[in-house]
Amino acid sequence: MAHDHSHTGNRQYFTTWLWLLVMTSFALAIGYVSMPEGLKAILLVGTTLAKIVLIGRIFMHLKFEKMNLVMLTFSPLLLAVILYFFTRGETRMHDTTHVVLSHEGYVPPTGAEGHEAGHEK
Amino acid sequence: MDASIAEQQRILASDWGGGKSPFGTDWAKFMMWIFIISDALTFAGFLVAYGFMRSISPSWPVQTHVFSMPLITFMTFDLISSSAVMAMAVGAAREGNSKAAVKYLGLTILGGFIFIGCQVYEWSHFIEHGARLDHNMWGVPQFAASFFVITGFHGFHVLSGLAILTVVAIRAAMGKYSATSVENAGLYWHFVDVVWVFVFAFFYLL
Repeated sequence: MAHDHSHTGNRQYFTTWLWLLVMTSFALAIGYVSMPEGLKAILLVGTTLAKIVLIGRIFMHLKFEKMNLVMLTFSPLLLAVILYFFTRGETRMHDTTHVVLSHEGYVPPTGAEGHEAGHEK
Repeated sequence: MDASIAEQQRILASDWGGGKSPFGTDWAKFMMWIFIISDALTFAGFLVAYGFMRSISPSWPVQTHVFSMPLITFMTFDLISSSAVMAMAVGAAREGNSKAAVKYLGLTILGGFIFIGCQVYEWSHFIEHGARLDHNMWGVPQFAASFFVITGFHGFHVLSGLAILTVVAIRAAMGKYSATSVENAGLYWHFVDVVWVFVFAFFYLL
C-alpha cells in the first residue's frame, strides 16, 4: 500500500517536473522572440507565476495546507507588486531614448549566440 | 478565580488564542515557512530594485547576448530536477523508507553542486572580462552590480541549502532523522528553486 502511494506520488512529481520543463522552454522562447516589450513582460510574468504555483502546490505541498498559510506565502509577491507600482512613476519606462546595448568584445562562457550592435528599445 | 480560569479557557478556545493552530502545522515547519517568507521579502526587494535600476538607466545590455543562455538553461533544468528529486525524498521519508530518502537526498545534493559549479564558471568568466561591482565594459555599472548581488545572494542560499541537506542526509543514513526535518529541508530547497525561476525570467530573459 505504501509502495503504491509512493509510486503515485513520484509519478505526480515527475509530471510536474515535465510541465516545469515545458514552461521553462516556453519562457526561453519568449526571451528570444522579437515582440513588444510589454507583451513579453506579460507572457514571462504569467509563465513564471504558473511555475511558482506548480512548485508551491505540488513540491511544497501547499495544496494540503490551510488557506491561512497559503495566503501568508503570497505576501512577498504582493509587496513586490506594490513596490513596483510605487516606483514606476520615477522610471523611464516611456522614454523613447532608452537604449538596449550589447558588446562585441565580450565572449560568453559557452555556446551563446553571436553579438550584435546595440539597438534601440 | 473560577472566572479567571473560564476567561483563560475562552481565550484558548478562540481561533487566535493559542489553543488552536490557525496554520495547521507543527512549530518547526511553521518557523521554516516564516523564514522562507521573510527571505522571499528580501529577494522581492532585490528584484524590484533591479527593475527600478534598469528602468532609470538610459541604456541596458541585451542579456541573451551577454550571457551563455545554454548554460543558464542547463542550470535551470538542473535546479528544477533537483527540486523534483527532493520532493521524492520527502515522500520517502514520510513513508519511513530511509534508504530511498538517502538516495534521493544524495541526488538532490549532486544537483546543487552541479549548479554551484556552473555558477562559479559563469562568475569567473564574467570577472575575467572586466565585470566588477562598480564598473563593467558595457558602461552600465548597475548591470554587473545587480548580477553579482542577485545571483550571489541566490548562490549563497544554494550553498546553505547544500549544507542543510548534507546534514539531513547524514542523519538519515544513520537512522537519526524525522520526516519533518527532511520536509523542512525540502521546503528550503524548493524556495531556492522558486527564487531561481524568478531570476531566470526577470534577470536573464526580460
